[in-house]
Amino acid sequence: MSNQNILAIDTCTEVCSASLYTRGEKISRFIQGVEKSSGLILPMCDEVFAEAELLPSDLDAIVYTKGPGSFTGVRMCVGVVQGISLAHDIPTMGFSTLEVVGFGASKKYNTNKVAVALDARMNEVYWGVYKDNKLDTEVLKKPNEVDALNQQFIGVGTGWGAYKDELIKQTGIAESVADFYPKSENLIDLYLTYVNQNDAFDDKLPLPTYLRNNIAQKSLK
Amino acid sequence: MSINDFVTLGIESSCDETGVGLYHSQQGLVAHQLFSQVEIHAEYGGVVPELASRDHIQRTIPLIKAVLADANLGLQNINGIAYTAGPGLAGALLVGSAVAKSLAWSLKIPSLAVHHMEGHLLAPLLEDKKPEFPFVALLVSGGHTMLVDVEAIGKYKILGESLDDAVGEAFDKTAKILGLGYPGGPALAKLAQQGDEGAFKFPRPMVDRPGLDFSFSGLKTFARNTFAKYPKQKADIAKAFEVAATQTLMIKCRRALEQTGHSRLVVAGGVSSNLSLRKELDKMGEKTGSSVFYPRQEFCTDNGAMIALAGHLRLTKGQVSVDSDISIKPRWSIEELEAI
Repeated sequence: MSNQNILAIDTCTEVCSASLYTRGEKISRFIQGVEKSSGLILPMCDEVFAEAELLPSDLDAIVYTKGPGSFTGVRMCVGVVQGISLAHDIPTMGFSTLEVVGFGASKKYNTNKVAVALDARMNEVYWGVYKDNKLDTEVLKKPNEVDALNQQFIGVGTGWGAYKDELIKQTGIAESVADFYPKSENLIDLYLTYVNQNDAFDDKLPLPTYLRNNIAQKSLK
Repeated sequence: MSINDFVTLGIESSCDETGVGLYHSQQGLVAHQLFSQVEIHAEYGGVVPELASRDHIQRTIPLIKAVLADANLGLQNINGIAYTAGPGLAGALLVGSAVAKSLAWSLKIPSLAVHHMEGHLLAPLLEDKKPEFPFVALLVSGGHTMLVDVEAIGKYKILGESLDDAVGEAFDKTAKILGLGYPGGPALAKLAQQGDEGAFKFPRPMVDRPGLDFSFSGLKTFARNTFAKYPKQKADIAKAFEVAATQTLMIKCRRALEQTGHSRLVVAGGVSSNLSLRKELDKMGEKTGSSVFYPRQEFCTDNGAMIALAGHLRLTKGQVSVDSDISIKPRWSIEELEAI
């Protein structure tokens, strides 16, 4: 694995990050409080490639978050991956934003029980249950309709800030961290885990996961 | 690579059509492909911006691969990438821009943000019968109605615009009033063929005032009121609407030619495919000794070929977007463009 060059990018939520894994090390950039990732992601990639003295053509794989998140942010991430990948026919692997956050929290807090809630606005959350090293659930829910869990779980993600009281009441979880975001570094670790398990690459076009699909009313006429 | 072998990839995604084109310095347009989302939006009665963006992200890469295959070229043959950066729907523009900028970034080739209306305005240069500069351009679509004084590429002065509905929008809305579905403009034009021109006389908005601005929302209201009174005379109403709209456009074009002293008129945008409009303008051209130029029918609507061409003309003069910021300009005046 250590001889591979892997790019990881995430622009799906209010953070933006890029990591380049090369010679067994990660070179990363992460910015929080992002209004528009469109202005940041390629300059970030420029920085990590310059630091590693590599070119996009040196890549062996690209890993990315495919959503859910802000619709525009998700498409920015997927669109950039589509472009970089097409240029040199680089294989790609997409991960759920909920999985990346769940995986990141499981490592940081040394637990295998994580309840991820990302603020989806409109009184809903993107809800994921990460346990035993995999994402178990991935749905769009109202905070008072998520899974009933227990105090062994830790809650993470912006949903735990926006709808804390409702989520605590519904899940029975005592400990939560709202200020927890997807990170491209975690994408690299997830990728290395998956490849070790001989999982296949996506040979299809990278495409977004939205979860929220009811977005327009059909004309009555 | 010599400038004579420069190949530009053009990507259009500003509204409800994904278009990709390839333009070669010597061979001209070598391939183009288009996917129209009309059917996706039809059941909503208009373009749903989020649905447009969701479709663009699925279409862009397959269309790029398709044009390369059509032209028997590989990405290594591409020297520059042009993409529509505005004006248009922000989410839709971002998809084309993200793919274009990241592809160019990864290939280490230049990219350039193209103005959608400049693409339309230069589309007649894709034809054998090309207009020379200077000329007056009438840009007519569902989103725009504009007369532009074109001195040269990038030297544009807006002579007049619609103060309310774009003419294509007025066609679509009037068609909706008449129950012709979405997008109704072409259906209205078809129905008008069966109409009696003398049945109704609609006003020619703003022709009795000086200036080159347009207003079409009153015409649509006039159609609604007429239809309420005479619900059985759909074809006659369609005819009266089309005649009023096209004659209004013609009168303003004639005035713009007189005002600028130019003898060439370029007509582009979706509504430029309307045959009654073409007939009206050709007649005016004959009377005034002006030449009128149109793109072929398939390049009247949004397409990637015109973006490839507009980008090519600028990229080969050394204009590039220097930073790797994926910026878009949903509102972007054509007068802000640089000359080349």
